Amino acid sequence: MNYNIKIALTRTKVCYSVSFLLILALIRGISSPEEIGAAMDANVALLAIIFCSDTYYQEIQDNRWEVFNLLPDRNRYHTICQRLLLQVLYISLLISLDYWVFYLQKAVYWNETGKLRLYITAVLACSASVLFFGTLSFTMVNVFRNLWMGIGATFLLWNTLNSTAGKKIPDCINVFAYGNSPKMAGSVDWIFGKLVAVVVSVLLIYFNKRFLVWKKGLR
Amino acid sequence: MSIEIKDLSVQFRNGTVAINHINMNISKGIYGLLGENGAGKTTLMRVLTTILRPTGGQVKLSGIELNEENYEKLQSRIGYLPQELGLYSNLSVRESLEYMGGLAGVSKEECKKRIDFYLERTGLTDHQKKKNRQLSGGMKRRVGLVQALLHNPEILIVDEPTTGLDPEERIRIRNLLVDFSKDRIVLFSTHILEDLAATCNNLGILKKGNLIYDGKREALLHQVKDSVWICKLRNEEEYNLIQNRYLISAKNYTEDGIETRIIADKKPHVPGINVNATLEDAYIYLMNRDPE
Repeated sequence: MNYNIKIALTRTKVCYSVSFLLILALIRGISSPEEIGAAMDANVALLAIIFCSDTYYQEIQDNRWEVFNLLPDRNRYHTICQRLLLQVLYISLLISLDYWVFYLQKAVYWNETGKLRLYITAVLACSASVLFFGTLSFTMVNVFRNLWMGIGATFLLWNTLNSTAGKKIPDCINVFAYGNSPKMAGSVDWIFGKLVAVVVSVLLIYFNKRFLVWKKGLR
Repeated sequence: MSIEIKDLSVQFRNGTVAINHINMNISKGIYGLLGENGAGKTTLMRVLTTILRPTGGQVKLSGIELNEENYEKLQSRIGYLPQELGLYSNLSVRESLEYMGGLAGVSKEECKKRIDFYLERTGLTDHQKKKNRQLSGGMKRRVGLVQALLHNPEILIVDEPTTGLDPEERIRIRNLLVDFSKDRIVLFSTHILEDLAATCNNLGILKKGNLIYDGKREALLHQVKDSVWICKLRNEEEYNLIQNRYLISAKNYTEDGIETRIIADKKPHVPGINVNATLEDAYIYLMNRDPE
């Protein structure tokens, strides 16, 4: 576990993720605390696409895949899944801290009512997006066997869901329903969209089992 | 403990034949695999390490047939050091070895013992706390070698482990390979002939996917016995004439002309003396011999 933290959370990754969220909290304008979660949702998903893309691909980049290939399948799969989940957890932790940085914006008024509920909702909702897009990007890189193809394909989906057209997708299957309609914070429809994203992520993690053995040439 | 290869062939999707129906038998000790770039050495190693599925033929490792059903069983018997192994830059030497050992299924206690043993043997004990990114090329290869040995494999496959290293480090690596070959098969691929001359008794030479030699080093040297000459040539013009007629394995400008090492079955028509053949002479001879 400790070693996977060191492998998955490199200094470069920590630097760019912290900078990204810090800048986001300072420049993304909001007018009330209710909008914080919505302001973060799609953006942290974008961060997750880049952050998690090389979870396994770094073994290829650093020429370790041939040695990795000789390890027992079960251990290999577990260690990669652990790295992926550690990264998701790390971004979620950053989200939970970054939330309060938004309060530095003077436009945000302090409304104590339901503050904790809003906070927990925002962190959980954004974490679901991070899990989904992080897992999808990691999977796409493994499927395409190319880092940029994987990131590109995931980005296309992100862009579609985050566009005006994306808002027309029913909330119950739209991972960004929460972010698209912040006023719905009181509603529960977006929760289904997030649940679907979590279920799909779990399935994708399982699906990755077969992609963790990279064969060249004949396979 | 053996590697039996029968009629093995590997053809890539683009039609390139990387291995062309080769047969080999490798037993305990170091077996040197020699060949020019693109000869098929790495492809053969990838087949043996279960990374690549062959298009034809049969391979048995310690009597177990190399096929998908047996991959997992065989993988635990193989240690592999690829040409360029990138180590986890954020981890220290010891941490990366503990990590790899754990993943290979070695128990914590046993892993610690083995790491201590191999760090001592490879002269890395003093560097075990260093981050991998701080290591020199030679040290990285030694760490790579230790990671390949942690699960105590019967077969150790090393792909050009001495390329790009300084002479001292090269000697150290090849001596380690000799030490580690006492109770296992070490398949040592290289194109540095000195390394093979110093370590292997048995070797195979690949050329464009074909195994053009498989046998004892002495038998290979015997093929060019009495066929190597050192001749003194007067000038470049004479050298050019000789070059067109004979195989030349070395050329050296001296004060009184050009000293040339010629491989020829009969005494060349220029003055020269017969000398003992080296592995390099034998290799040049074999690589340039007309296919039978």
